[in-house]
Amino acid sequence: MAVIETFGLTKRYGTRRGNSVLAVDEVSIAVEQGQVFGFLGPNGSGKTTTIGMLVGIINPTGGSFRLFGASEPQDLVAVRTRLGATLETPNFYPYMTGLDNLRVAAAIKGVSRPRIDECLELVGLADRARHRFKTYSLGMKQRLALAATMLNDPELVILDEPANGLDPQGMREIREIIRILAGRGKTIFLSSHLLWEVERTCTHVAIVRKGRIVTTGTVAEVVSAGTAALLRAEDEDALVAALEEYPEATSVQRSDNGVVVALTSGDLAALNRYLAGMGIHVSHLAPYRQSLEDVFIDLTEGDFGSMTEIAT
Amino acid sequence: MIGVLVRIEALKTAKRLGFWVTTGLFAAFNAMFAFSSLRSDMTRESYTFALPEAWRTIIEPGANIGPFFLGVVMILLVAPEFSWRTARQNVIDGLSKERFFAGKVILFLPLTVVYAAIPVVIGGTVALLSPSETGSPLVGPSDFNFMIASWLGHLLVGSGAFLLAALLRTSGAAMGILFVYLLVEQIFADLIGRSSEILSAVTDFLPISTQEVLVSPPLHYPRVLAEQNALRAEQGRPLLEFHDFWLLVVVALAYCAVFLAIAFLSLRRRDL
Repeated sequence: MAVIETFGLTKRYGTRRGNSVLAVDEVSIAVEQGQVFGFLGPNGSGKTTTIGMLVGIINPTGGSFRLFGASEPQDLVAVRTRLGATLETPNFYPYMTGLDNLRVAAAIKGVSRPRIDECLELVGLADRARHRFKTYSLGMKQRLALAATMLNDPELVILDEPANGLDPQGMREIREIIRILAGRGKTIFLSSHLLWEVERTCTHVAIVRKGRIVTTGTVAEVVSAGTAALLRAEDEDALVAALEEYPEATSVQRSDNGVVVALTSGDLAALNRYLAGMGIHVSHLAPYRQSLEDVFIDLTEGDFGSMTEIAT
Repeated sequence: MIGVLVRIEALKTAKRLGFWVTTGLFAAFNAMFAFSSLRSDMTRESYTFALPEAWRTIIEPGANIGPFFLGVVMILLVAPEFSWRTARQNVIDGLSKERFFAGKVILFLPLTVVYAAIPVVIGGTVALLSPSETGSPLVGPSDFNFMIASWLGHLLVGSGAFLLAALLRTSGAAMGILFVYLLVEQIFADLIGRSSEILSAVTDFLPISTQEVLVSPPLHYPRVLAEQNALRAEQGRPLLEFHDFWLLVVVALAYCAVFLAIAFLSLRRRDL
């Protein structure tokens, strides 16, 4: 059963065509029950806007979506009680204690006091529960947001950059919590920049670029979708130049170990013949297993151009 | 659901220092006024600050200044929900935008009653301390109308402040616009009112003008109106005339309904 389904979901900011920004462009995804779904994309690619539309804080300008099969506004309000979500930075009343903030969330979710204490224990905030939210560190705020998310023992957990501001220990704890929740059969929709975390944690991913989904599937499918090869040659510049001209190459990148070329087909013999024909004799040619990060960078290449230019 | 909304709004408000400071200042203003009136009576040994005659004196200052204290409180309780993004979190946690708005209205309506009641309770209690033997705490029809008018004034200005908070979404800007409007409406009414009689009649029904007329004692107390008009007649000034009280009630309620409706539509249409 699909827990989340979007059909051409679109969000355009601004009314005038020339002055408007297309933040989310006809996004269609399906998240099945029990999946740990990674929603990846560079900053400003529309991840948070997409999540905002699902949780009801942003009005879509096009398309539609279903949560737990519901699509009508009244039904969506009812089914949203079955999800827990955090978006971007944790949003709480700064003048209230962590405990009082959770009391507000618990009242909305119809949850009793013992469950608040359980969640505070789970995220390690029981000792600081009676301190004001404004005195919390960013990591503590993230933990409180996670506690609020889990108050109603949701069937669907939506986490937008949950590791922001956390130290390595905190990130590890988040990963553990996600694993525990996934182990309990919860559906998790996770937006994160920590690609190696996503690769280790998620079963499925979608990569979004400039508001559009560029690929989606299981992590294994997405990672193996493009075959890659690692090559070394005496004249690396000539090798790169030749590879850039190769019709089957989708991207060419230098690495510490040589040159990595992403290919549309896995025919490495054909690649070798092509290079020999160009007068380039490689000292190393082997299949290269891409990481999710490699695929992400390939698919979102260009979005980081200005930063690398500044750095170099 | 109403119980849940009451609970969460009560929790948010009870923990908000700004609410207690503003309400405390308003209560202190009323207490100071009442005690100074009583003290003045004692000094002069003429007990005018005694019930039931004192109701007018008790209600008037609070009815004039209370709506603006309430406006500040409403801005403090509504606008930060957007700047802190807690309105967004409330919706993520399961409140619809409509229920979030309903929660704020549920908070607003009792606060108008509380603010209109503060001068009555404090002033009435102090007036009971008057040594005058004529005193009876009975509320006459004119006093009752004055109390209703005071409440309507709170409702009108409070809903205007609510609207500004919902539209501007920051406390500073909302308070700034509220206080600038207080000045601008008077200047605008004076300028426009001079140009034609019809426009002058229209400016009588601008929000702040309506509130000011509603809490004007001569509107409710025929004896006060007669005294003031006699004085004006002596001075050769035009006599005071008021629109019908119930017409002003309808205008005040209409403003309140329009302000809250615009706030609701804005909340529903805009992203959080």
